[in-house]
Amino acid sequence: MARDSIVTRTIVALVTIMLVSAVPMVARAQDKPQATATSEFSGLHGVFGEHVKDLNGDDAGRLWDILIDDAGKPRAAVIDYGGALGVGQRKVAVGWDLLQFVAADAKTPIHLALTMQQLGTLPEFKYGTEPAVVGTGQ
Amino acid sequence: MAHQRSLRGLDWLNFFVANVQTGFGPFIAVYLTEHRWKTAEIGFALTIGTICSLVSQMPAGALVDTLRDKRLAVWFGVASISGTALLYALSPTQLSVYAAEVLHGLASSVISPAIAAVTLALVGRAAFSERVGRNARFASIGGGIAAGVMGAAGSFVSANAVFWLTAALGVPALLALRMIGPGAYGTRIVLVSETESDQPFLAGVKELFLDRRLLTFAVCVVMFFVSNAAMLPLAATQITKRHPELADVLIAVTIVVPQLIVAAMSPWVGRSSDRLGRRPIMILGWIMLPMQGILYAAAPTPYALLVCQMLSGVSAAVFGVTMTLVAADLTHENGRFNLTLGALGVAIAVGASISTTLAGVAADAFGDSAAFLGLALAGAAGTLLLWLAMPETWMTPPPPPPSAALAVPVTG
Repeated sequence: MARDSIVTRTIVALVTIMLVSAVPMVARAQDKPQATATSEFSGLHGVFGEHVKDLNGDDAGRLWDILIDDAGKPRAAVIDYGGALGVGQRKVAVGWDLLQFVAADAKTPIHLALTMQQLGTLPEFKYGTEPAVVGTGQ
Repeated sequence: MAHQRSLRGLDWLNFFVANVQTGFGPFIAVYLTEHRWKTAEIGFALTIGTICSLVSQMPAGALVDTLRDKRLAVWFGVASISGTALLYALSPTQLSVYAAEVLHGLASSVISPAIAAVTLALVGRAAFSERVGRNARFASIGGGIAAGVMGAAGSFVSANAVFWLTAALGVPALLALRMIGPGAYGTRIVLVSETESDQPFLAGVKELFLDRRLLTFAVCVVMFFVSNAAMLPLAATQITKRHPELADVLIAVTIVVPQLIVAAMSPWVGRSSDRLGRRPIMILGWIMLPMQGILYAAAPTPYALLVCQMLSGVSAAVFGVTMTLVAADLTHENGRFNLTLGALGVAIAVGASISTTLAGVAADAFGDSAAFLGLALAGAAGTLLLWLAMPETWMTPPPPPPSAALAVPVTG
């Protein structure tokens, strides 16, 4: 009998958790703001995980993260490159000024003003430590 | 003949289970990254799976030991991994990813030891070594092909396609399992339930873990993985640093090379472990580790990487086969084969995590060469321990009595 009630209570608890966790989703769907159709915001791109082209035009990995300062201004980009099948990649930080966004290059608009060989001279980037960044970061 | 059909089924089972297992690992990280998961969140999800697998290894092993029909455990493992892949393919929400990782952790701790148990039940101790080598060959071929096909599906179709493919490959794996009959052609394995009457469970477990041979071997396994686990990632990162233009092709090749060597060599490892004994073969496998570490430290070139990965293939072939054989040698009287494999699985996980941490700290503080030398030292210590302290565990089993009355009574 005691076991039955524990099982029942567990199920009730699980269902409650599921319902409660569904509430914010419903709420979010309802208070979605009216989309403003202005040309100002047309043609925007997501950049996380997008491929980066190096100075030689070779694939230099992906844009992994953007490091911002206290004012919210992007100062450096973290690039994840090299390796294969999840083995041997590195992450390095480069100054924001070393990235160019070339709209004419529809396939890989993110261009890096360094070669992959130069990335090899940079130390591995780790979250929570002061990044060693090349470039001015401006 | 029914037995031939069972053996063919076992070949295919190893092939398809390796397919299904390859669908995970690197692909999960790529898939979740595509769905904008943060590195820390992906790490957390994967850690759930690792912990689940670690915690469930030994209880799952003990449970499989009590099963009369070990095929049930393989069935559960394959079905769970397919289910995990479906969960991933359908929706990468937190809840389903965590659930998938729990399921995958449980399944991955059951499936390989359970296949070893099915093999032992099917062929008996006399033919076990040869057959374990053959299992490893088919698993390696399956893993290699799956890595290629899924890598292609991942880049040309989508990461999602990898999971659908993985889920679908569970079906041929289960069909192969159905081909396997109950075994029992004059072979007989001891079930734990038969010794249980004279000995309470905990006393039996205690006796097993006080076996000096098992303890020594477990330490050798830990040292093997301390030396081995961080070696390729560290070397591959160096290649990315120095030769980024070669990195993708070179690293892909160095992942496939050991697979080929394992496929080619494993049956020989199995046969030789009966002819020469486990010890000399194991020493051959373990001694490859310090050699790799020293070579990497001396010359971190693409050639060194290729040569080292060939050596790594030899040690992987030796390790994969001999670990199963030693576990069978140590437990043929008490039937706790899967519990022992579970304990050795824990030793592997412990060794691998020490390796990654140690190599990371050493590389940051003293440079990559020092890290490689540290890994080499761990491998040398493991080899030395194996050579000085590990007794031979192989004893030729008595020929099976001709009476069919000893056949394992299994239904199905």
